[in-house]
Amino acid sequence: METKIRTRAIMVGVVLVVSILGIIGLPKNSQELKDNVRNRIRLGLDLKGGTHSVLQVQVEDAVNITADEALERLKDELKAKNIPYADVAKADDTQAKPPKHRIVIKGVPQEKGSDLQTLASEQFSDWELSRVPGDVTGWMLSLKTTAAANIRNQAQLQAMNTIRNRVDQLGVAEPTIAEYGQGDYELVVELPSVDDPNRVRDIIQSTALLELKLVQDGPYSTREAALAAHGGILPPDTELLQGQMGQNGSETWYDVNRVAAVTGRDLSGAEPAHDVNGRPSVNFTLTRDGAARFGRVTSTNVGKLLAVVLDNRVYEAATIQTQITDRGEITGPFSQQKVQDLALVLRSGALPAAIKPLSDEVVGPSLGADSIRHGIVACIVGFVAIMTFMLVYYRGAGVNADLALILNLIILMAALGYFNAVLTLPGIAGIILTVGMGVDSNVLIFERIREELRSGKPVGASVSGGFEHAFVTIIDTHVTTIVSAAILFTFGTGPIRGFAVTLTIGLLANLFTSVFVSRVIFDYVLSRREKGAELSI
Amino acid sequence: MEFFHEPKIDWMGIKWYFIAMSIALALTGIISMAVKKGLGYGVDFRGGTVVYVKFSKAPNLDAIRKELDRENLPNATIQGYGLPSDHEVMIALDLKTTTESAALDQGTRAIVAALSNLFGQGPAGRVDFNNASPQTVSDHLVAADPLGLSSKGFDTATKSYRDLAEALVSFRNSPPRSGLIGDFQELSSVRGVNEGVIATLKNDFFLSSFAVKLTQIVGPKVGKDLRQQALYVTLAGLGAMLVYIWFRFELSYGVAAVVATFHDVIITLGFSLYLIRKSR
Repeated sequence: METKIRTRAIMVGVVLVVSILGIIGLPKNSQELKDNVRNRIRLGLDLKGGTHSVLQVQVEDAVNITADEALERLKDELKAKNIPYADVAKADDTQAKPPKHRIVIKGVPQEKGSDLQTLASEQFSDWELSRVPGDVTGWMLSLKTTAAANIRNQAQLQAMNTIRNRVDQLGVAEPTIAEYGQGDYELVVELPSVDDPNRVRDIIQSTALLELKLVQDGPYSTREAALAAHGGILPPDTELLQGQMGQNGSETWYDVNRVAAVTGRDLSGAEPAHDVNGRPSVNFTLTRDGAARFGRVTSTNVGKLLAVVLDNRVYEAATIQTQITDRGEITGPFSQQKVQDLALVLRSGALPAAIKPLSDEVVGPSLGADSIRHGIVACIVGFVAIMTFMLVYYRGAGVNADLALILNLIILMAALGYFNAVLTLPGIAGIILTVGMGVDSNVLIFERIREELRSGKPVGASVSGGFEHAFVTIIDTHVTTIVSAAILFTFGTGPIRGFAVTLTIGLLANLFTSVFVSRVIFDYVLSRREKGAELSI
Repeated sequence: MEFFHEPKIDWMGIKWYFIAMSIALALTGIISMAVKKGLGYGVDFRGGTVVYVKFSKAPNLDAIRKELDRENLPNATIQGYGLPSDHEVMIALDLKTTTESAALDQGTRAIVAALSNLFGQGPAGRVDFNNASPQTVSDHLVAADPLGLSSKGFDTATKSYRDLAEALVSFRNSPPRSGLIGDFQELSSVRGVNEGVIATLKNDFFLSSFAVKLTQIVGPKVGKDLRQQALYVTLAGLGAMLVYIWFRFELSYGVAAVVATFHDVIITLGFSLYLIRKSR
């Protein structure tokens, strides 16, 4: 009997020591003690401070861009393959969910039909070619649903990567960027302890689509003036874009080519710099292909204006003096901070589609400190109250329960550290709940022991009987609660997960402490007690 | 000590009284939910904007309301929060105002602008220490170099001042100051601070009397998704419980357990609407 108790006691001792080491490490002084604890217990956003945003990637934009590109390509190919047509235009079904993208070609002569079919199957494999009912010269290209879905998924993935890129460049520690929700192309971005949440938000959500477009006409002072100059109809393949606001709030409008000579994809680098007047600006360099294309465009258009367009706004329109190949400059009313952010965002690449913020939460760091203090106070108050009750109600056995409870909490905190789990404010609530539910197991056992004693059984048999019979019930209560916690963990986010984690670990630890450790303590007490003495319970 | 010495209560005999009481309590819960039109959702279920602000002294709520009206937010809810000695205020905008603005965070920016106008004005050129980030504090300390660390090299000096700035901000954020300090002298107890540091801070910074503790902006879609998810999780939990108890005992026991739990939840939700004040 003695050896069995000793072995078991050693096991409990080992668990205790490992757990304590897990929480405080091997500190050399009290400062190191505090630091160790702070490092091992990871705090959630609600205790540390930071931002939590849910963003929706507007994936339809990406599909629209692909459809537009296909339209342009189709026109070029029809010309190249000598297939005459009267009209080529988009004819999307926007009512459908998700929208169906279609291109309608009118006026294709009968004999060119097979050529068109060959062209479609070779160059437009993501589209399905069909005839237009009731029109012998009409054909329709519909974007395949799988291709469209692919574009949408790719857009979401690319947006995630671009955002991750930008966050890395900002130097935010331990960010979380992940998919969120059920299939609506939502992302969650969590950034702990950010210095300036507004600036970070702007950087992450800026589309940063850079385009260099030839200016056909401009500047005009209003949109109407620009239209009027062309008799109400713009020249083909051009669009009107607005420029910077003037000092007195005046507008400038340009008529630019729709298709850009060079886009952000051709950038090989972007750096903050200063322009000729010493104001902050961004210098960018182009890749080889981009430079070649840029060279072609600038050499054939010397004397015309080239517009630097960022997110569909003209930042400047400069005259092309000579052929430019591999570099350019963006100027504007920028602050030093703004050019650094702009260069960062250009370097990370444009977002494939706009990002729409759906929710945003910013937890200030002082709130976190408050919450931790309130949480610790609640823990201590709850703990002391329960310990006192157990002592009063169960006397000697109450000491047993209290020791088991203390070990339970130590194991819980250590497990959080070892699993690198995150402690959140609901997590602290989970710890307090573990205290209440944990002592519940001891109550079940002790009451059963009391029943056994009342029915006249000797002390040893009563204790064994108590543990045996209560065990199954303890398993039942713990399993049902852990199952609920598991469901919360699977479907919950952030703080709720913290609650599920602390509750689950606490209950598992409780199975150990209330059944094994309490039993060891009882066995020890029984082995030291004189025969025939009463058990303090 | 024992509460009940061998209790012999005829539970089944008086079951009708208990059934009646259960039904009455559950009905009370349901009625209170109907009266309050819903489950007392917080902002993360309901949607909208909420900003929690702490002030160094009791703020004039009317002045805040007038300033918010000027910022075009006439429907803002302003109410005190927590203990009166904490001087904390909650400012909320409903879902309609949040969705109608051009940008999602326009409401919070307007609220912070209004508060800055009222409580955060300092001498021109100075930064508000109570709302400054460690980076800002560090930048100013590096520039002024009150500890004379420039001789140790740029990197060492920057790191030391960054650590000092973090310690200062941490001190400001911890209770009982909780984000607001009233006087720069309070910082003298932080390790590494001397009179030179305090002088630099007094020169470059001022102390506003408010600090934003938490902002939450929840769009309609996120709110709706969360409500739906909460419902599914609850039903899944009840279902799992049913299955486990059925498996361990009998189906009727499982149903009984689920009905009992459901009844508890209804009562809790119903009564909490009246007993728990609007909280985070």
